[in-house]
Amino acid sequence: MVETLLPLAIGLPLIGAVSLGLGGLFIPALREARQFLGGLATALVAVSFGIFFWTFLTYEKPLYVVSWDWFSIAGQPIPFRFGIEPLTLWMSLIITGIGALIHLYSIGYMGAEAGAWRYFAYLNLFIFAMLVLVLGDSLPLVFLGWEGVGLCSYLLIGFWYAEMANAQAAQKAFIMNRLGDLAFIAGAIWLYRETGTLDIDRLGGYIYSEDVAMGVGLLFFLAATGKSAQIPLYTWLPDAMAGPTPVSALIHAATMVTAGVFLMARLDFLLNATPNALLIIGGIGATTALLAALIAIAQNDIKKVLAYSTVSQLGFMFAAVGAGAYITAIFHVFTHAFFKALLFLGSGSVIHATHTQDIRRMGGLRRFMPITGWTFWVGTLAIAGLPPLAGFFSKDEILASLYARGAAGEAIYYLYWGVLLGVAFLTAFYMGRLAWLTFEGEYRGSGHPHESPAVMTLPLIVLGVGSVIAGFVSVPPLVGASWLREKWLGRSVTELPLEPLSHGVEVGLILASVLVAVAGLFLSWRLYGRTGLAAEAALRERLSRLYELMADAFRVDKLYDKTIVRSYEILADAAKDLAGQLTGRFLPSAIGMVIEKAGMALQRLQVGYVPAYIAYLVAGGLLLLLIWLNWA
Amino acid sequence: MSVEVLYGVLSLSACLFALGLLTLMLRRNFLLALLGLEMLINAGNLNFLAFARYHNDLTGAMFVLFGICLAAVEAVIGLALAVRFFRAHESLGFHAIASLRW
Repeated sequence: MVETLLPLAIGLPLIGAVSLGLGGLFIPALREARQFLGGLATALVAVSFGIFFWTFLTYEKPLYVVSWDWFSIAGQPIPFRFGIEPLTLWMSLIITGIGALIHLYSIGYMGAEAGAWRYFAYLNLFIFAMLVLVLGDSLPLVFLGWEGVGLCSYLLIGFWYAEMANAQAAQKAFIMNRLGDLAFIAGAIWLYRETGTLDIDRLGGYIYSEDVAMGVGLLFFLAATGKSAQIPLYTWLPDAMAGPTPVSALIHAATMVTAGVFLMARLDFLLNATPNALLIIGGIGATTALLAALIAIAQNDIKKVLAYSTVSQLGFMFAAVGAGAYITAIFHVFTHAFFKALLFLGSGSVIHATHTQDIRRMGGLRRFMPITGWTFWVGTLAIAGLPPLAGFFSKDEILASLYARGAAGEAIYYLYWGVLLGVAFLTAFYMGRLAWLTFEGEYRGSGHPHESPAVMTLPLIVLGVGSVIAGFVSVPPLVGASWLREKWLGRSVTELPLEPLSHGVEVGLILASVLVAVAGLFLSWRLYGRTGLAAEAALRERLSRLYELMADAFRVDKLYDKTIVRSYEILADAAKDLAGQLTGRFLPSAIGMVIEKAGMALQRLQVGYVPAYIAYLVAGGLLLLLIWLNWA
Repeated sequence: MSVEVLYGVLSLSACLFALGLLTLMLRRNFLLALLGLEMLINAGNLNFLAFARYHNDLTGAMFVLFGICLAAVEAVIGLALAVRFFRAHESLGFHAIASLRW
């Protein structure tokens, strides 16, 4: 029964995107019906979520939907086919569920925009592309979705394209993602050469040598660093905040940026064969988490703080991948989708009310907008990792898996564990800082902010509830069995086996992660809760040089500008000059010269002596005769 | 008229034609070039006649009448040109009238 509806679930967002896009483009009167367009887009995604949820409830075995021949490589057909199995279905639920809520929120947030039709068309297209990415069962199809979400991200970051900065941010995101995509293609080609297939299920059946698995795995990881904003390709994500805030929530926090983590879990068979690549992935994840958390402390733009927080949390996920605990990584994707979407939507509600993104001009907002304020606090506590909220379970599981990997004999994972424990402290601190400065104390802005309409607060409440309870799908072994690992994702994802930790160690780990979360929140209260902005100056004083660096995002952008971008520009300028010289000067004069010389040479034949012309005539006639004889 | 005779006449015509061409290419005098031209035209006429007889078809012979007319016209124009050339250059040598050149 539900199989027949699944193509609809995948196709509805596409239908929505096409009809909204074409309708808005050709029927200008339709553009005015913004509430209707938004409602339609929301309903389509909600129906899609309903179908996926039904599939989830009745799930028995993997299903394949929409199967037709797409194209073939060397006689081998690449089918256009979607695979429904626990991992892909789980991601689809996150995408359509959170997506529907954010669509609903957008009706309120973008209701006054003239370009709302365009916005909702892009948003629906994004949902479709993301579904193709996660459900596609061959690498080319995954790549199609991978590029599709990149396109939608580009379109939506540059939604207000009239401002140069937004257009530049969109291009930056697009171009940095292209670098990763190159690695994706290279990895896919390498895999094809090794195995002769691109079908993910069949790829899983091969045995890979360490060298191949490491090379291909790292190529796909490089692709993931682009999409999921990890070192070295992370600098586009903070700039991507130029887009509308619900877009930041949906694409640049909850779903698209987790595509890299998903890809890692999907290619578990490759990574399991290469502990060395896992070591690198874990290291990069931990480093990114630390770097981004440090930067987040010194940011004053509410969305920038959340953006760096996203980069940092993605670092946690990749650290989990590095420990071989892919299910744990997907678990954090799941919980993070709730609280980070909640935080972004909350920040959107604040921006909607105060018309600024600078937290120095906020403060005390919880009195004016209680629902936004309380739900934002829930999100803050969840990401800080306070039990029993969602973030606690997933973060604790990540830390435990790293510790267990260390205990299994690979000492460097102890280092990763230590770093991430520190980052968990920083997370609690900078999120506490953000919440105190925004919602508590005295209001430092102008005007009279008021609560957002119900269409915006309803998603906040739903996500707030989710942020509280989402963690219970996978409780620590101490408390009970992890449903997510044992009953659901374990059926399609194979983790690197780990020795279970003893109860004593486990209790210690849980205590440690609770302790750092409480300590971080406490410190943020001591500094910002009591003295507000005054603490900012004190912190700046204390950290001096380091604070400058953090506020400047460690000048990584400038470094990239000075090295890669600059050298590229020099190359481009040189190429431009060369091409200009070639087509503007050299080629025309060369052509003229050749023709002139040829004319000079040929004019010698024009002797003016009549018998010579007769001789030419005879010679020509003989030539024709010869040709004719050869032909006949 | 047998095939052998036809071949004979055609060979004669070919020789005449070749002589005409050689005259045109080798003699340096305008009047002699005109003579060469006459030989070319008459070689053609001879061909027409030979085939007319061979096929017993008078159409070929008809064409010869046109050919003779053509030759007459050509002679008139050629001689008129010769007179003009001579008045302009005091000579009928091709070297003297080689001004149409680079």
